[in-house]
Amino acid sequence: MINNIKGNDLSTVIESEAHRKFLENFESDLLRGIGKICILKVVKKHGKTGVYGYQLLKDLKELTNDMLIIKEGTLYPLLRNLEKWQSKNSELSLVQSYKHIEGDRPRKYYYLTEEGARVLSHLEGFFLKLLEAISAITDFQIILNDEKYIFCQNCKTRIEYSEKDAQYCEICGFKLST
Amino acid sequence: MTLENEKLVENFLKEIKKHLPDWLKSNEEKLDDIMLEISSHIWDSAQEIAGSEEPNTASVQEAITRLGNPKEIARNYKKRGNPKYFISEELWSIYMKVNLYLIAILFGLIMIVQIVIVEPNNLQQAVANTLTTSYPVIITFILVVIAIFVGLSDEGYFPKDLVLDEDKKADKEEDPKSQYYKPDEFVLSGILGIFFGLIIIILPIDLLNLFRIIVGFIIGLVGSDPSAFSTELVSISVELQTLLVIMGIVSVIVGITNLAKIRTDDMKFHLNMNIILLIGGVVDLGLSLYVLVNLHLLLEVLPLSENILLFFAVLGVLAGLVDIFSTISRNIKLYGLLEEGNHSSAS
Repeated sequence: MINNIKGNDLSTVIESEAHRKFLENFESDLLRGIGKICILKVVKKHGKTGVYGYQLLKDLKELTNDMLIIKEGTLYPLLRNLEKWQSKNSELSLVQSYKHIEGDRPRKYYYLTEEGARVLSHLEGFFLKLLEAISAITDFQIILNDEKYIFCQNCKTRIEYSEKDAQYCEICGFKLST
Repeated sequence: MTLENEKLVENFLKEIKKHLPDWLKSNEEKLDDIMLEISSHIWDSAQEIAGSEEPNTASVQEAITRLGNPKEIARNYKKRGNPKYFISEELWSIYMKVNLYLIAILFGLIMIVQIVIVEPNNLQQAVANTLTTSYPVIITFILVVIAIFVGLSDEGYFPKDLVLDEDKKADKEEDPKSQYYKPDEFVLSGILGIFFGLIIIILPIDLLNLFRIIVGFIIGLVGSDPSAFSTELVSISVELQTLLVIMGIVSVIVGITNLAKIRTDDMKFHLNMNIILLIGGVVDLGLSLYVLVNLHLLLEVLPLSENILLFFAVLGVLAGLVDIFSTISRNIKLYGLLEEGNHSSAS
C-alpha cells in the first residue's frame, strides 16, 4: 500500500517515539483507503486494455507528481485482493486480469470491472464529500465540480451528468435530484 | 539476463514462496501467477534502473531491494478475512462448532470412564467426579483449538481451504453434492445396520453361536484346538444381554439415520444426521470401554486367553475412536461445503 508521502519521513523529523509511532499508524490507516482509490483510478484510466503492476506504479508516481510512494511489494497482494475480495458470505471482483506476453516478458494486465467502476464512483464520491464536509473545520476550501458531476444525496456516490439519465443511484437505488 | 541475475531473482521468488500460506501454495496456477508477476516486476524495475544498458547484478539487486522483504511480501498475501477477536469472522462459526463437538465428546468420554472404570458402583460419585475433572481437560483442549484457529486466521485461511485437498478439488468443483450425498452407501449401511441391530436384539445367542463357529474355524485353520468352540451357548448373563441390546438399538438407530439421509441432499439435514451418528459412535465407544474393563463378558463368549481377549477389546475401543473421528471429520468437511455454498449463492 501507499506507505508515505515523498519527503515525509517522520523518523528523521520527530524525536519522540510515541509521537512518531502514533503519527505513523494514523498516516498508514489514512493512506490505506486513499491508496485503493488511487490504484483503482489508475486502472480505470487504462480502460479495457488494463495496466500491469510496474506501469501502474509509474503512473501513480507521475500522476501525483512523485508525491505518493507505494511500497512495491504490497502492490501485488493488494491487486489480488481487489481481484477477489472475499468476506464470510460474499465475494467481490473490482478488477480482473489477463496474461499477455510482451517481447519475451509475460505480464498480468488488470482492468476495472463494471462492479469495480461502480464501487470506485462511490469511493470517490464518499471521499470528496468527506473532504468537503471537513473543509470548514480544517480551514481549507474544496470546490466540487458540480457542473460535471452530481452526488447521490443518500450514499454520496459520484455520478457524471452524462450518466444521470438513469435517474437512480446505481449503488443504493436512491432517486437522484439535481 | 545473465545466469547470475536469474539466480538472484529465482532465490528471491523462492524465499517469498516459502513464506506464502499453504492454501495459496496448494493452488499451482495462482502460485505461478504470483511468481510471474513479481519476476516480471523485478526485470522491469532492473531495466529502468540500468537505463539503456542491459540489467546487471547491481540493478537486479536494487530492484529486489525496492520490492522489499520477501517475508513481508508473503505476509501481505495472507491478509484475508475480517478479524473477529483473534479469529477471523469467516472461521468463527466453524471454530465454535469444533469447540461444541469437543466439549460434548470430552465430557461424554470422561463420564463414560468415570461410570465404567473409576466408580462403577456409585453413579452419583461418578457424575460428581466428571464435573470436577472434566473442566481442566476441556479448557486445555479449547486452548489448543484457539491456538490452531488463531494460527489459521493469521494465515488467511477460509473454511473452504480446510475442506479438501488439491486432488479432490476438481471433483468437488464439478459436483460438491457427490462429496456427501452417496445414496448407494446410505442404503447399504442403513439396511445392514438395521438388520444387524435387530438380529442382536432378537437372537443374541444364535448370533454369538454363529460368531463362535467362525472363530473356531479360524482357530482350526491356524493349527490350534477348536474343541472349546464346539459346544453351543445356551444362555448368556444378563449383563452381556443388556450390553448387546444397547448395541443393537444403536445399530438400528444408525441404520435408520443412514436410510433417512437418502431423502434429501440438503447439507444442513446431513449435518444434523451426522450428529446422530456421532452420538451413536460415542455410545459404541462407551460399550467397547465397558467390555475392556469387564473382560469376563468376552470370556463368556470366546474361551481364549486373557491377553488375546484384551487385544480384541482394545481393537474395539480403537475402532470406536476411529469411527468418532471420521464422523467429526466428515461433518467438518460438510460444514466447509455448506459455508462455500452460502458464499457462492450470496455472490
